[in-house]
Amino acid sequence: MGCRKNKYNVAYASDTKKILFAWLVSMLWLSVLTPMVLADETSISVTFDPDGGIDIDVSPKTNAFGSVQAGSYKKTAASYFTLYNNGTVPMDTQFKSNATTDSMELALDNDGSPAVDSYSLQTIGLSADGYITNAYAAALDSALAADGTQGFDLNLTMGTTLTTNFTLQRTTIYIQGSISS
Amino acid sequence: MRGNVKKILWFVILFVFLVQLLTTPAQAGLQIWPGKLTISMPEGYPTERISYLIQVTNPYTYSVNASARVENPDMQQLTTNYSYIPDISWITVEPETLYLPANTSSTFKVFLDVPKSERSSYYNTSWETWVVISSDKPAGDTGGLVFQVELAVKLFIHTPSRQNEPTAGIFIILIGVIITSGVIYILLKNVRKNIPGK
Repeated sequence: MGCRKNKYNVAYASDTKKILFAWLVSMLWLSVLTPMVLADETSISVTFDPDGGIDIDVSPKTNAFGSVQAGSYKKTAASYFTLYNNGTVPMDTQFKSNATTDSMELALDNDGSPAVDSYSLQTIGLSADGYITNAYAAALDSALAADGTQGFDLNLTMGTTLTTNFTLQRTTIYIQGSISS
Repeated sequence: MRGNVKKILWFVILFVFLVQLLTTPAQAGLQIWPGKLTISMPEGYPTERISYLIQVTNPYTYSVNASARVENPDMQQLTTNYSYIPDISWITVEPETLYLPANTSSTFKVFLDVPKSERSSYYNTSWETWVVISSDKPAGDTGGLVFQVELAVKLFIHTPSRQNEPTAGIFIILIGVIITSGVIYILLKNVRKNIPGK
């Protein structure tokens, strides 16, 4: 009663081998393709193009205008302030100030026509002089060369009417430097 | 002899004093690199959020805190052919504040993460937004007007020009699986036929 090969057993073994082979091929195929498909998302290249170092400063950093009467204006000396571009590329400069003085008694007027309890500040000497607004707007100085300086002065115009004799007012002017477009 | 030493000492002191008096100190504020950064995704949106370092240098002889915020520029400052990023919260900066001891440098990390749900709406577009860095450098208490300097890093972002197609690859795999399954099914059928009594 030895183990006798019959045609059914041979065919069965042959088919099993084929199935096993097909399964192995499919697994091999999946293991090769899956990382390639996933790599489509995980290894996407992103390019960075950095350019230009910027370094801006202004001097002096403070100024006391002293007493200014309603309806009048006061200027700093010509080129009293100096804008410095110590960066490696040409630079644009925007200006803004707070909407009011720190004590919130006087409001900043954006267009040079201050009325009641308000004031305006205007730059003089920059490449595109204008009034300082309460949000950054167009650059008041453009394309200041690397290692370049630009002198400017400020004109403070007081409103036509002041409802009281205000004491010392203080405000901050923000100067923002950005690489020239 | 002693008198000569005294004279030389006085001369040195006077010389140092005059040099300090006559030398105009170079004005320098915070320094940042880069001033402009262009990010392009030519092959599609990556799954990971994109990050890049902005280096900040404190040239002062005292420590400062530098802070960073993301801000869209004024419309007049927007570069031609660029638009605002649809949601400014897609750009984040870490940390918000950086402590910089005297004469040291450190880095802010800028992240860009366009939500997956939004990506399909934004192909082939160019955005501009700014990372504004300022310091708490004291401007002094004198005077009615003080200046505060800020630096803006211009971020230009180019979104992918076309949809990345991982679905195509998945589709190929699916077809392969279906074909393989079909072959196995046919082979199994043959096995059943070969078994006696089936």
